[in-house]
Amino acid sequence: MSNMIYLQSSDGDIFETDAQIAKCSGTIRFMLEDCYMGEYEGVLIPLPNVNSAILRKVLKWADHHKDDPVPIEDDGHSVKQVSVFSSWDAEFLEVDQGTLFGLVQAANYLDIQGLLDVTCKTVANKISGKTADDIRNTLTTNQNKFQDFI
Amino acid sequence: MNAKKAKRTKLSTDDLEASNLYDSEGRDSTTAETIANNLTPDVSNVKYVALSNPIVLDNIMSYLSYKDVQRLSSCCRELRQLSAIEFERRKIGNSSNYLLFRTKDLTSAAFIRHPNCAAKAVVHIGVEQIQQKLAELTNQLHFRPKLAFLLTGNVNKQEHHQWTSRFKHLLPPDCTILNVLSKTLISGSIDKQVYEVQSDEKIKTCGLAYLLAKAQPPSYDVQVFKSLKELASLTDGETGQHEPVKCILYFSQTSSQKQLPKILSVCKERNDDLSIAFGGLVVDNLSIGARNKIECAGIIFSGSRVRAASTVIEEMTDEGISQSMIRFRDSIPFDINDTTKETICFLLSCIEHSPTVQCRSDFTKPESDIFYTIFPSNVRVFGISGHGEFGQISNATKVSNAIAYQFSCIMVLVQLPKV
Repeated sequence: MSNMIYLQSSDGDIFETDAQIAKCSGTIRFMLEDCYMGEYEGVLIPLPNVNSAILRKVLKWADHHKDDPVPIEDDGHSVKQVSVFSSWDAEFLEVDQGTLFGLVQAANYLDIQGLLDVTCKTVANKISGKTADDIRNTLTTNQNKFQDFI
Repeated sequence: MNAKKAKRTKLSTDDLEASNLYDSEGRDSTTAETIANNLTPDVSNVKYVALSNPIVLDNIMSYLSYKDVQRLSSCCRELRQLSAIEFERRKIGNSSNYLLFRTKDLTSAAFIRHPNCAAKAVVHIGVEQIQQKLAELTNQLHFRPKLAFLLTGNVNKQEHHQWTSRFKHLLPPDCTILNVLSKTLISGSIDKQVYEVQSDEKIKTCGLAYLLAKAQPPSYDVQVFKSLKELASLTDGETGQHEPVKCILYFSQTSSQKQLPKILSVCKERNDDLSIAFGGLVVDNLSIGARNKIECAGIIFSGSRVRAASTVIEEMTDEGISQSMIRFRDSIPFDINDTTKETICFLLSCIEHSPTVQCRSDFTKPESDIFYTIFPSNVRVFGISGHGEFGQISNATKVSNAIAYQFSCIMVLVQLPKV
């Protein structure tokens, strides 16, 4: 029997989801297993850093990848291969930049390593081969961040 | 709250098979408080928020070629700094346990690599789980920290400031970050064991211990001072500090002790003639937020529910240290076994007060090794060594004017209500 839990986005919407799917997030897994000591049927977890549009996409990604094997950690020091994710992921990440960075932020906050990897790969693909000016345009819309240009 | 009672207003969308959508009616005050206490960064510019997180940028850079990182470095100063780190990391590869590492290296296992690797000890208030990687920890805090007290060991000054700025990215903007650098040794407790990171130039060991504190007046308050003048002002009851000061931690880049005795005397008067707990250290560098050139700084714990005690251990034998600790433990006028409160012990010791320096057969264990044989496991340890120490014995029967010590270890025990 599945355990259903509830996730509340920053804008107040509440999503019902299977705990096993939600537990792909290290943040949620920690809360369920440590804060609720495994008794988490029907609990509500507020996620104040993720809005409903992003949370919906995150859950869709998590549902699709729920049967994935646990990823093997690399040594963290070598340059990784770009563009080796599935066609489903590629299609899933064909989104506007705001959504893409929202997913990056949510993956980091929720500690979903797989999603963080594919979203960061996508951003890296967008940067790869571009000039500094193009990168600047890709990475930011906030001019204040670049007040300290060299 | 029982979420099942929430009124269902929207059905699941086509592209969301795994979840159903509800509105937020019925949210009780507990949930609202939890949300309010969580870290809530500005999400108005999501791209900026995502990219201002060095962990995310680290991950993105790990997929880029050298050429791409080079191009990235010419975008802006911030990216240039991060690119320099990336180049350094690629250069040193796995051979070094350097300060700068990838997020995924920060697993719980990394926290307990000991003694020859870059251990990252952590002590914090308010969350039970202490073995969390940095990103998890700061994301999962169920409170909004007012103070981040970092002990950074054995790095250069530039890396020291980088740590401060990394924490600044991860913590709320109103959280004060006090980062103290020691190039010799730091220690911190994880699961009833104290881990030490000692200086070793060859393998470049470095360490990080941090304490995140949420103050909740009138239960207790923590305040950071950046000068002796500020310390005097914060401890003077007539200038706005109404709660009695119970403990002062003082860090300086010089051994100057001007005004300190006077300040402690004022605190003592305000505490109905009971000594306050006091400990300090001469350290290699200090950093508070963006401010780097600071002569002295420290933390004040105040509030009627705060309990504190301090002592000076001058013995340099295993037996002598044990006996001193037992005397100190037995003299503490509050229950250190009380697990409903957070009890932290700061060990501030001279670099010479160490068995590795003294090389004597009767001095084989530092305070951190002896600590849990004397004190209960609920007390967390947070330690650093320096080039001279300040302290006083609280609740002493005879008055001592001594503030500065040599070749000793100052123990400062603070007990705070859990918030």
